[in-house]
Amino acid sequence: MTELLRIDGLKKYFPILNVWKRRTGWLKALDDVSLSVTKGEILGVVGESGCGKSTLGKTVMGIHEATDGVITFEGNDITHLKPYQSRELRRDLQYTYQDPGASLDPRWKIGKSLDEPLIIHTKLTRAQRRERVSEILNAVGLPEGHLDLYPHEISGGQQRRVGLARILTLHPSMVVLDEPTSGLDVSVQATILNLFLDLQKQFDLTYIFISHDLSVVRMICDRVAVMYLGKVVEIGPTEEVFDTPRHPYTQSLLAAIPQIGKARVTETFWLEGEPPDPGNLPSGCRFRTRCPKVAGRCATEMPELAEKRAGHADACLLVE
Amino acid sequence: MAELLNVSGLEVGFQTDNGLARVLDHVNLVIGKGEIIGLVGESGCGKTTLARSILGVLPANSARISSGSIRFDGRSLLEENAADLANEIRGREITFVPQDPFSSFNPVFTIGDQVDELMKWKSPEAPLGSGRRWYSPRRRRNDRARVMELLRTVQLPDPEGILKKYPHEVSGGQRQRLMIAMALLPEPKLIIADEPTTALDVTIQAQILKLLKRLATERDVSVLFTTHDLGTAYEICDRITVMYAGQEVESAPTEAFFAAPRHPYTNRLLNSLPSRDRGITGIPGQIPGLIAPPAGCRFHPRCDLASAHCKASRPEITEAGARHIVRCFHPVLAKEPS
Amino acid sequence: MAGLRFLLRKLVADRTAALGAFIIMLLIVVAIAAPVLSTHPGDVTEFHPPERLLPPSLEHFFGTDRMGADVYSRLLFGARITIAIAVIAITVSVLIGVPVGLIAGYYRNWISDGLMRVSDIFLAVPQIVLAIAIAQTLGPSIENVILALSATYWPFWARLVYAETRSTLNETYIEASIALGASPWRVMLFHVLPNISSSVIVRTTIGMGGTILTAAALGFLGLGPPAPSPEWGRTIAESREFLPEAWWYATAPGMAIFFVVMGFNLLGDGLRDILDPRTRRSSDG
Repeated sequence: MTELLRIDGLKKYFPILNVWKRRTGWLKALDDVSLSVTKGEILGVVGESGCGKSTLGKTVMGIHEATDGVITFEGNDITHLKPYQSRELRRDLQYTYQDPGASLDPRWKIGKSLDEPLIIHTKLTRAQRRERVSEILNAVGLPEGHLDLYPHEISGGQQRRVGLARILTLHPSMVVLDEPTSGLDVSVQATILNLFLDLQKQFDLTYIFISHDLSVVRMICDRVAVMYLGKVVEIGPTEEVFDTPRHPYTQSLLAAIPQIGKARVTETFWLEGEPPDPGNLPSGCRFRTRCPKVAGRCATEMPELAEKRAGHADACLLVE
Repeated sequence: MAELLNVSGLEVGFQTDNGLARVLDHVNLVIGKGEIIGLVGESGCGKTTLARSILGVLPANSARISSGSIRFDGRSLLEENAADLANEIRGREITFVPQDPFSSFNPVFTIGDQVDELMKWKSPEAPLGSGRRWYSPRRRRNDRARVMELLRTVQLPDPEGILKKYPHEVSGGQRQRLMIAMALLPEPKLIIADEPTTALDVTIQAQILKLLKRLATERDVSVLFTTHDLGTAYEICDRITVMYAGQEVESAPTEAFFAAPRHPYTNRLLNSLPSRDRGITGIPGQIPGLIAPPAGCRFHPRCDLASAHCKASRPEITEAGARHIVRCFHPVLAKEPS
Repeated sequence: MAGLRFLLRKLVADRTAALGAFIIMLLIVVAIAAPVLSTHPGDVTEFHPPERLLPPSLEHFFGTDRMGADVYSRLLFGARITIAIAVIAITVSVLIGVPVGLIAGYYRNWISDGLMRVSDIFLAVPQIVLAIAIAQTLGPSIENVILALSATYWPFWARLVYAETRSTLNETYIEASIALGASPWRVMLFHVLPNISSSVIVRTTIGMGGTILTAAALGFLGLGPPAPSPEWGRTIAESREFLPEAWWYATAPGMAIFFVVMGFNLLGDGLRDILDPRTRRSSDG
């Protein structure tokens, strides 16, 4: 059980600008987030839009620069790397985009897109590259013939396979999957999820699996972190978080998922209201404006993420 | 249950660069008064085209309706004068809730302006007929009162304030509440909701589904609810119709549908939902192209149960139980509900 | 090359663009074959005062000018000058403007700001005035017209490429490439440039028409190549005093300028529609 990635007190604030480009406040997309990822595991990061889960992935990747905090990958501090250093890091730490169709250059054939990472990072000859590409293509289950197609000529599921193939050519040790199943039909989604699991075994990968789809996360993640408005509110083993959720937000999130054959959400769901404006957060606990269990001290005290059971932490003042 | 909408034998083709795509192939659909029908299928199955055919908003330059009929409340939507239908049916008797509420608002006008414009033409008090029209202050007052009442009903906080805002100033969930309110304002008989919760977060989705179901039941409005998600269909529908590659393959009341699905595609679709007990099983193969779809049953290339018969001839609709129909030669045996 | 065939097929399907392409092709053929096509090739430099201002006839298709030279033949040789000026001036503008725009668009620092401010300064001075000033200072000649046009036209490409680069950089596939570890020059040359090339091509095509017009204007004002050059703008200037009697004298070069500029504009508009990458099929690539 070696620790591959460690995030300590990570903050990412985006300035809120008015029409005169003067800063009027901060949008706290990530506010004091700490977690670690063990080699070989799949960590799910769930939450609704605006909770900061994508920002987390992009800040780890260095696409956004952290405002504060430390990111450690394979024992090295990677928080503030120079451009050439972060380019080197890309071999080991990779990122897949929510919309793989958009992440492929529309004017490039698939074959050229798959070749690019090898050209950037290796000194392989054309023939060696060709060999590596067809090996990966085989692993993600795409026919050779696809190398000569343009991205818009293949289906969404196939684009996702190409996106995966593109990052796997470099044999990374860790992959951040950002909403990897959104926009896929369920029958395709199932095959793609199986592909993730197969590739994980085959290439010895560690995943951070960012998703809003809790049933998918439950299927394939070992541990799950629940985020709300820039904070991790609960983190623990998937089974435990789903079976005995402790934070009221996790509870309502789980209660909102339609489950066929079970009681209907339209009859049982209790949560009212919408998340507050992320540029203008409530004092104390950020969930208190919607929380059904809210108490007086929730408005004054900021709950910290605390491990109240082995491996299972939550950030709620009311949970013992 | 009295019948409100009856689509029968509808065939719609789209002219593309590569030939005629037969997007709807002899589709039948019945919606009763006050019924919520789920139209479920994967992308490209034709559910949106069916919804658009009923609304009468198919792209005129590429789409062609070659046969079939759509009867709504005693009127034939494919045969009557288009201008009359636009005036008397569309936006009045049949309204629409879109998938993306943002692009359905005009960004340069306030929400209030857009609601006023809708009420001017389509409020229940608005006279029929088109052309220039005087919007009397009395009617405007009545309409305003109606709008306020409905905005409160859809649980929008601060209804007066929201009318002064621009579309980008309200959240996605609130925009969808507004859309539902605007769909209900003309007091329609049928609402067509095209994936109304797909763009929303799961807690907001639950709220919107709850709201839509409550209002439809209270006001006795029928809803045609298209979705790719069987879970949301389970939540609010009375009856579910599954479409595959331009045909309806199974239709049944919700309870029977989930308890005993008969079509192999429906079964595979249900099995591909992520579930801890079962593992993940997808459906091998791909959705067929609609320009040259497979002969016989359109699902046969991906079906385990396919026989030579399935490859050669086209299955017709057969009865498989009470109000339960299936388009298959070898329907899966009904199992006892567990 | 298959891509080119695809382009041609699309071009033929679009009638107005095909007309534009035809006009431009005609211009090029005429310019190259001027010595063969002209009836009096010597008339560019030779004069026949007794035959001055003759109306159009079989001997002189477009009549003769004030020196008795054949207007038709001079028109053909004028096409050479026009093409040379336009092509060289535009090439220089593109070679300066595109890299400036790419670099200014890619980076977000003082270099970027500096480059764009310089191009803003050039854009702020009315183009024809700047061109006149340059041509006036350096004296009338083809080279100076080209210099004046290049100096005034490059900021248009810099502006265009800058804006296109900025918007292309927001595309996910660019971010994906950077996340993959691609270096800035790689992103600029292999991703951004090909993706903005169609707007550059369209702008260049339409810009050709504008350049020809400005070149003719400079010629008209006497800042172009000196007499006896058959440059079109100069020819129109010379013909002024003989209007309206010798109508053919001004009409011929006037119509030539009109058709050529229209040809480039039609072709540019057509290319704008044709070059949309999302309509391209792999069978053509």
